[in-house]
Amino acid sequence: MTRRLRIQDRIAIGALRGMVVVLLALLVWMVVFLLVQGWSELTRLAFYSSPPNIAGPGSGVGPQLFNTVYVLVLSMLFTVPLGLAGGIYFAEYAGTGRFTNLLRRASETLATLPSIVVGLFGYALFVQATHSHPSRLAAALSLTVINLPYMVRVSEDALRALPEGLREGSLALGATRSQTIARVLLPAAMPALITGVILAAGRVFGEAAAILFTGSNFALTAHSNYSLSPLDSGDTLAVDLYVFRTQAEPSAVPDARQYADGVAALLIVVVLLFNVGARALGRVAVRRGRHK
Amino acid sequence: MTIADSRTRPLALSPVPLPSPAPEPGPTDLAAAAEAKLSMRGFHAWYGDHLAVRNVDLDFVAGDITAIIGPSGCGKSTVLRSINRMNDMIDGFRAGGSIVLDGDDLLGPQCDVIAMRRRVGMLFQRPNPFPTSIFDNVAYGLRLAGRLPKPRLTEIVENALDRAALLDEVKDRMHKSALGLSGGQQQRLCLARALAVDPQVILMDEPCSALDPIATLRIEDLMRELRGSVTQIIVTHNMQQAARVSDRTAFMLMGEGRAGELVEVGPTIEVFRNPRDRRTEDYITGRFG
Repeated sequence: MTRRLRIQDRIAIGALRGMVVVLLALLVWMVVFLLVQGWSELTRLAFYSSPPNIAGPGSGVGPQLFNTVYVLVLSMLFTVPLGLAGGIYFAEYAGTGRFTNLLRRASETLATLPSIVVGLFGYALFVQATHSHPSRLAAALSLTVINLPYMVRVSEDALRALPEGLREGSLALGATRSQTIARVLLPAAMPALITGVILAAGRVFGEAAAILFTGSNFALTAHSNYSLSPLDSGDTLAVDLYVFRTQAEPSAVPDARQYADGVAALLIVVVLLFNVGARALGRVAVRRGRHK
Repeated sequence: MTIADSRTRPLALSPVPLPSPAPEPGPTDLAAAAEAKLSMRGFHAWYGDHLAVRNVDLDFVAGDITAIIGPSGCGKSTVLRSINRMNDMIDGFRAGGSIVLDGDDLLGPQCDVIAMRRRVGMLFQRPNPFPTSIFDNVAYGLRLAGRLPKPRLTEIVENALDRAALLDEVKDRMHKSALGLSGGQQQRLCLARALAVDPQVILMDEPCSALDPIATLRIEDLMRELRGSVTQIIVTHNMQQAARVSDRTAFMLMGEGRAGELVEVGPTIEVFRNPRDRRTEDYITGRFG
């Protein structure tokens, strides 16, 4: 009997190991493949300095790289305060009434919307309805629509995970609820909040559909768009990848494939650097909080 | 009951009519009522439709330590947490009757709960220091009220830590995290935190149940030292602790309809040596509970 159990156990562990190996192999293969394919572009200096040009060879990612970071920061400026406010409301003020349920359902539905739908909605609302043109602001707002439910959820969970004793201890000393939230709960929830913000920000790198209609200029303008105005348009790396693989004329842009491979490799590298760097930042913040 | 109901209705006003005054006087002794810092009269408490505490009359003598003992579910924590209105946060909780501190009814609609909680401090079952420095923990209540000059703030913080017998152990690491302290030290830090705002009453909800015997004795020593300057009320499962530390003891029991009732109250020596009520005697001698 025990022999059979032991064999069963071995098979189970073996199967799990096998699956992990497959998973890892897939990941490594993908990353290596992308890096190898994009290597010639990644090592070409002009790749980083030139502007994109859909009408001719020799495109670069300079403006898109700048624009990606710009749109990311701009969208987080909306997402973080709004998401935090929503999370605080759900965790600390909303009870269990019908209105709260409705709000929660609405937030969850928003989270499941395909990003292409959000992009079209963003185009209708932020571009058409305001009689303007695609801009970084419109793109950032569309990204906020995508990330907001996630940020609300993360903030709510971070606050709910705190021990009840913190809340009671503060109130018992004569603090109001808002003092308790600002002085005890938010600082205590900071590590979880930082992780949530990082993950939300990371999604901006990969998002193309929501920006396609709201912020992109389809690499059509050859001007290098390093301007600081939120009302200017600009492609992000992910959008650029899409545009060059689908819109470039092979006769006019013979290196479109090569360029797109370079962008894909660069995206992988940037996301990796961003995650590692942001996590290190989070650790420092936690440590400082503990020793203060 | 929905949230909207419990929010809009003043918590202290009970929609259920209170029973007419008990025909026989409650087990309150007149001497205690005369010296009372805090008095409960006809106190009732409900969780939704369930009556959890029925008609409690209790006087807490100024400067004394009063222990509230009784088996689980007898309503002793509800009584304690109603004094500083900590139960207000619970959906559907309502309290009736009166709790008077120096002439102010704490259950009345005119009671400023925030200001009252500075007069009535609390120590919880589990030590609950904030995840900040030792200094910031003790300074928390002071900073809520407004800015103090740094030297004055430091003076008050050190004084509070001294009263909680913690200063010597932490004076070299005041700006290190409070979470690095042991459980017993954390509970003394929470006591210092409460003492820093100079409360007149301290409520203790089984303050030693998460501590080892040595840390427990240190807390009890501190309670004795604070006797006279602060009115202390301690809820405890531990009868030996009540006997060791308290001046007066109140015994509660679950009565009709699972509602907690006060069985008797008096000087601790009398309640333990010569209880008036048979049920008290049974509980103290370990026949149940």
